[in-house]
Amino acid sequence: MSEVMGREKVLQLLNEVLGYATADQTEVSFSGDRNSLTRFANNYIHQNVSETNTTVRIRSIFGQKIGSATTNKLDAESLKATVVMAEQLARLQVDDPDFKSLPGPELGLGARTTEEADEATYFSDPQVRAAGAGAVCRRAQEAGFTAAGAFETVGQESAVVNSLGLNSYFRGAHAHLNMVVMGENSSGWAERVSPRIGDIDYEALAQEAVDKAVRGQNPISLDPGDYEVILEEYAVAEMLNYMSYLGMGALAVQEDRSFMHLGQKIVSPLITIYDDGNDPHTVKTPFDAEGVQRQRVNLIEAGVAQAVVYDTYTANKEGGLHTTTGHSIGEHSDTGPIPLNLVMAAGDTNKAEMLKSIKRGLWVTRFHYVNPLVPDKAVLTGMTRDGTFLIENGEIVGPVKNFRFTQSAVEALNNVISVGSHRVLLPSFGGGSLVPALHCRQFTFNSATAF
Amino acid sequence: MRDLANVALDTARQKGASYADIRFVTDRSRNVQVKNGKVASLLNNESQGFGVRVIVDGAWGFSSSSIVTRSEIERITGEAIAIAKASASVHRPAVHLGQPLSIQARYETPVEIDNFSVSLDEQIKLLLEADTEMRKIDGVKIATGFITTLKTSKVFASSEGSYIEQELSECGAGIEAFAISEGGFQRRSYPNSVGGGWQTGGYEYLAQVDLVGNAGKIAEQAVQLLSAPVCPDFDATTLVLSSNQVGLQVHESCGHPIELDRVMGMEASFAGTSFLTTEKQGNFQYGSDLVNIFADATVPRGLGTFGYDDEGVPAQRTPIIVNGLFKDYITDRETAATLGQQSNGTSRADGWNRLPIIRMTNINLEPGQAGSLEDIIAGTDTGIFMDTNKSWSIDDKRLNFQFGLEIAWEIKNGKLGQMYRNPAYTGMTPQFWGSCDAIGSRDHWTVWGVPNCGKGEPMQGMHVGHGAAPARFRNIRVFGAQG
Repeated sequence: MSEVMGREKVLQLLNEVLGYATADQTEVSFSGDRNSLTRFANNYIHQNVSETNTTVRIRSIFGQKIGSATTNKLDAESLKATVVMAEQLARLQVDDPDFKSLPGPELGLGARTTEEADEATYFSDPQVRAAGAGAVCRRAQEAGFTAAGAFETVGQESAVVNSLGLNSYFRGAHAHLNMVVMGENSSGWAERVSPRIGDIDYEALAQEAVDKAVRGQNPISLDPGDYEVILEEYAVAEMLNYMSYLGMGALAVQEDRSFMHLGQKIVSPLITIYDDGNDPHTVKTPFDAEGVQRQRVNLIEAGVAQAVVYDTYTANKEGGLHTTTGHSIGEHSDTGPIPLNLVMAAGDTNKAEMLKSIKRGLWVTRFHYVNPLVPDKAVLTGMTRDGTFLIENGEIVGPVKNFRFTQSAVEALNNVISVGSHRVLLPSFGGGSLVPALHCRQFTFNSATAF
Repeated sequence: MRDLANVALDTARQKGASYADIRFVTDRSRNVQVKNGKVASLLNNESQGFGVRVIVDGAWGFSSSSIVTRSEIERITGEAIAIAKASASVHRPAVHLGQPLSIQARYETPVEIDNFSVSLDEQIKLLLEADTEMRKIDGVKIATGFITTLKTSKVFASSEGSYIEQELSECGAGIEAFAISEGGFQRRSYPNSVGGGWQTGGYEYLAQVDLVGNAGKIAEQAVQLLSAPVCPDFDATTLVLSSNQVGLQVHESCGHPIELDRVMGMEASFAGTSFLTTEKQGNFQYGSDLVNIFADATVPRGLGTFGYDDEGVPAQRTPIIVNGLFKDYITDRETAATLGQQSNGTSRADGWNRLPIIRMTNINLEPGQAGSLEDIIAGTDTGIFMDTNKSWSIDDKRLNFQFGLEIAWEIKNGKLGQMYRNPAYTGMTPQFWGSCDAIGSRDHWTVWGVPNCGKGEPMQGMHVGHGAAPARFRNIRVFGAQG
């Protein structure tokens, strides 16, 4: 299925599936993916792939009993069998008293649907991706380095209908380029996400990575410990992504495992974070897994935890105190609803100004292999990678070997002295995060590695 | 299916491919999850499709689709050809696969009880019973459990003449108890954390793991952890690890560094590279002479056990580390050829829509002679025993690692003493394995399943296994995570 099905055909298909249902309530979701990715390493393309897939998911409800089934076979017989399977599973269930109802039609996108996919991104040409990969490889080779990375395009038709009359449809696309440029003992990184492949300036990104690899040559060993830091946008996005699933959803709060103590100041007043799936500066995802239109949620305002995101299930658990904010990621998640389109408000300081203000500290390009160590306190561990530098008296004095950090992300945000004025769109766990660089008074590195 | 396979192989040949293969894959999975006395989800997934891989002008192309028809196979093969030509436009050394391979075979996972023959009622009843046992313990706020069963049917056909059919079965299950107080949040898992316990095989696995019989114990420990002191810091102490944590330690600090594509830089931008560069082959001391590691895709019930990999190479048992000395990598046809070797059969794809890449099979630390966990603890004067992983992280060359665990106890005069919460340890890979001075015996050796190994772009999750017994390590930096 190389072509787009389009709103009418997709909704017609899903409504036909609804017609097979005998449950009290039924939800039918559609995901049509057209993904391509060109991967390069050692200055040549070594993997180059494309995928066309469509998945239909059915959620059947009898009273308060719920069952689900998915298939990627779209013939009528397979779809009918999947409905039967979902209904069989539902009948085996015990009642779930926290389930009230599927969302009603007023919460869906309905006729407000727009098709916003950039066609050059959606129907990605392998020659265009090869041109980008080739440019990065050439730039690295000219500088005496080797490049590795991936140039990816994601095109997706998404739709949800349910038996209460809700319908939502969206067709979107985005492109993502990442690269590491490596020398004998240094490396540099660059990465961008954009809704339009044409907006990804691969020449400029290649230069950014090459410059970092040049500056990172011959790193020295430095003792681990507490350092003042500049966290570049790449490091900030990684930290924020982990915060999103550890504590920014309603289920985490309901289960007392969230750092979001609502109404309290939890981080620096310089920090404001919101989630908005309709923000044109992020990867737009206008509705959630239940078809509910996403609302903007102001999570942290001037350092104060203001709100978390909800799906219908977690909203129902609070008995009418909250309504869904359109952040369901599907019923099967232990994490519950999470924000996927995080935006951190920009500050008024550029990275050069941050640098000038530091007497002794570290410049951190990005983190690697981050994992929570104490999840309820958002204590994370991970490594620095692809450009870590010692700062003395307002200047970068040289590269240092990489450190392991073990640090609460909440405390790190509480230690913020200034926020970058420029923001970058980077990948999140399911959308995109728009983030600035941060200057933190203190950040804990507890060991170092050999390179 | 042979006719459809030939559509791809003939189309590829006509359009100039020097090599082509096609894989048809049908996956079926069923998942039951319970949480706090309720069935949190009942889910049935079915997915089918095919992927075509071609070499044109010395470069790879791959495309895939969920629509299994003659015309779609022709279209997708054409797309793979176009992608390969785009790949070739960025200059590269031509791909060589070594000796041609032509195998006709069929493989099925040995199964005692077909996973899909067991009623969901029975599975729900078992999980709710374990859930009840956990929630009987005061202080347990959340109890969860799951059973997942999988069946994968694959057909592989290549332009070299291979035609291989496989039917693989897997079963996974686990329970978790969470205790929460003002001071924090503690979890205990059984039989393993982060995805539970897994095997290839049938539903007979559930009888082995005894979820109900272990539910009360882990629930009690989760509650006890709330008031236990944080693990103290030691610059260097003796560390005894549970078998399941030894399995994860092998995964991160042995399994990934030996992937030859990673060594050759092909994963550099995502998962990283490896300290284990090719000049080290055959002459690098990876660990103490007790350390023997095999990549074994033939071990019964291992989650990385199969008949043939996704390039049609037979499953093998390959010595990786022998008496502490590094011997060999895990390879696919392309990377093995660059070293003048034959593939040792570790090229695996996460479904029909993914390109096969080098993945772990079962990377097993062979049993030692130190007896049981209790025997190892009895032979330890002072130190720390840690059980079941909570957190893992390692640098991009697989040297500096740090693991957090669910629970620890002090070891004093050969006995367990004070319980500790938030234990963690950190180290460097060769030094850590060099400090290993005791490995449990075969009777205490388990092949742990890891169902969530991530690698590649687009991301591919893989099911792999690790044979491991409890083990002891000297002079390890241990600390407690504050929180």
